[in-house]
Amino acid sequence: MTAPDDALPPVTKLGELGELGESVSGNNGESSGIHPVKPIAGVAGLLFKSYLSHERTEQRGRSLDALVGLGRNPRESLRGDRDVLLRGSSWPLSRVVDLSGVTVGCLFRAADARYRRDDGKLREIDQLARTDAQLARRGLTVTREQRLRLCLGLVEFAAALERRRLLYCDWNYVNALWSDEDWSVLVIDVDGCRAIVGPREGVPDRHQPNWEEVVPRPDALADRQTDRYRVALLVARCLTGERELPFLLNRLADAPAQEVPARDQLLAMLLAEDRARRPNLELLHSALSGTTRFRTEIPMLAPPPLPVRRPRPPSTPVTSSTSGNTPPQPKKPGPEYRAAVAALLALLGVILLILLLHAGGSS
Amino acid sequence: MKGRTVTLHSIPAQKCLPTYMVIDASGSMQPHTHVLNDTLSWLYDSVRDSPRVSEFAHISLIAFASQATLLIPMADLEDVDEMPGIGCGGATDYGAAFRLLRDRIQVDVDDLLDQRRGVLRPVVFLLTDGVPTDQNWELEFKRLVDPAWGRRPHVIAYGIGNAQAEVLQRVSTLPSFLANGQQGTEQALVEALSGMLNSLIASSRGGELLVPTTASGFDRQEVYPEYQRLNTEFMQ
Repeated sequence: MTAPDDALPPVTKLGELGELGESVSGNNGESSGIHPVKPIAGVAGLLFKSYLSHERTEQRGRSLDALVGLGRNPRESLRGDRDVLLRGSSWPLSRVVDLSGVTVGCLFRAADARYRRDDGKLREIDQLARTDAQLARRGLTVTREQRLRLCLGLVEFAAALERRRLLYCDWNYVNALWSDEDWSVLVIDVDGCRAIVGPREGVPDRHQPNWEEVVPRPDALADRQTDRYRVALLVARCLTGERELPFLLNRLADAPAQEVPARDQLLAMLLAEDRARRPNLELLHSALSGTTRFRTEIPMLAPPPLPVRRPRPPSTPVTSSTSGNTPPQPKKPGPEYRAAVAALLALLGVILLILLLHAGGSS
Repeated sequence: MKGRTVTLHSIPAQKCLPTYMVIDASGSMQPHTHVLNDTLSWLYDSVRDSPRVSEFAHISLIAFASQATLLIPMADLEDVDEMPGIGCGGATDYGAAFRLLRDRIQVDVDDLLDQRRGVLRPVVFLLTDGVPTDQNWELEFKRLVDPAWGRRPHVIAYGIGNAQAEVLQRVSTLPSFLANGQQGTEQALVEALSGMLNSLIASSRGGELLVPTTASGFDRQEVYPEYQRLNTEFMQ
């Protein structure tokens, strides 16, 4: 039994954490490790994220206080968003300070068993964002409805962040976990969310290879449009399993509207010529849940021409050698080989039958 | 859908790191064949388990002994149905491996560029347990990393068993690693392949080659001065 999250003090001293458990995560450029800690104030299942020295700033401390405060704000008007944020993420529960009051990390709840595989590893959305055929080769089946349900949870969370004027920017395959029990999503690393005031306010972006906007801000900062773009990209990749941008955009553009939920909304978020006109995340949520039919006159870019896509290599490895000597291990006969032998045997059978009939007819 | 056409240049190209795993399969590796194949299978499963890694680090597997053999042509491992087994036996012809590598890099980079990928300078992870038995290995290595050749790869060597520091330094363009004998050859083999995998995972996060700075049970060997001048950059 564990106490409710708000039993934790909003600020915890490092010394109160006791002996840290072995880190469950390596250095990721922001933290030196994520360590299990003993129950604090009766709250069990906590992890301590220890920031690297360049992250131990006053600004980081203020941001954390705002996030921790939002998670415990009793105002009724915030209740809906607060519940979505706490339920849908590893929300920071307490800021951790050293003896001199410097912010050294934060506490949050570990992902529960729903978001772990049998081998204990986290169930990253990376593993889900594959085509049905790719999943089938791994013995997995995920229905269109299950994909949609996951994406709805993801966008519900992202829309709540947007309403609270919080930028996340870190949307990618690793920072969202999924459950194949209830098809829910858990967003992690949210302690890096930053508050913005104006709709055009920008913050330094996090380097995210393969998540760069088609139409970025001229000053390369990230803003709420960045979040809209990346959420749309993640959702489109999860819904279709198509990961490469040119193929994904063409797939969306060519698909019948009923085949990909919120297709037009996603296209507008990814291809709006004017990035400031990207539809917001609440609209995407409505479109995904089928409560809004999206119509837009937003000028959009056309998807790029498709690059060459190589066919899958043959199932039997191709071997060659510089001197033409024997490859290291003999190959087992593949299905093509077996089919050829069967066809040859059948042909021989037919020939034999003809010869027998011919011989019978001659005698 | 109507709209103006985005040229491909305005779409951020998906970055790709052509990665060559070059495995010494000479006679001295024979006692370790089982561990080698098990570890390669584990590495194959691990990469396939992380599509973000497999789509970034396209991998080719080459084994060499008295000759070099291309076991997996450059591919996203997601698209490779099974890891072929390696049988060990024969001499240690480094030259054959470097010749085949140069040929394959030429073909593979062309192929990836045709797919409109942002192709990073290739990286070669070389695992060896001995010293070369051929005469031309150094000449072939110089051809492989010739500064005049635009597609010259980075090479990181891991030495186990009877590998020698001086040879490792002469076939690496980045710091190499020599097992320090604190663990058995098979454990060193596992550590070396784990190090390669960790490097690929980290690289996929950063979108560029990130190389290991240490390896458990290995001593780091600095780069031979002649090869200290390669940078990560896009291929053309």
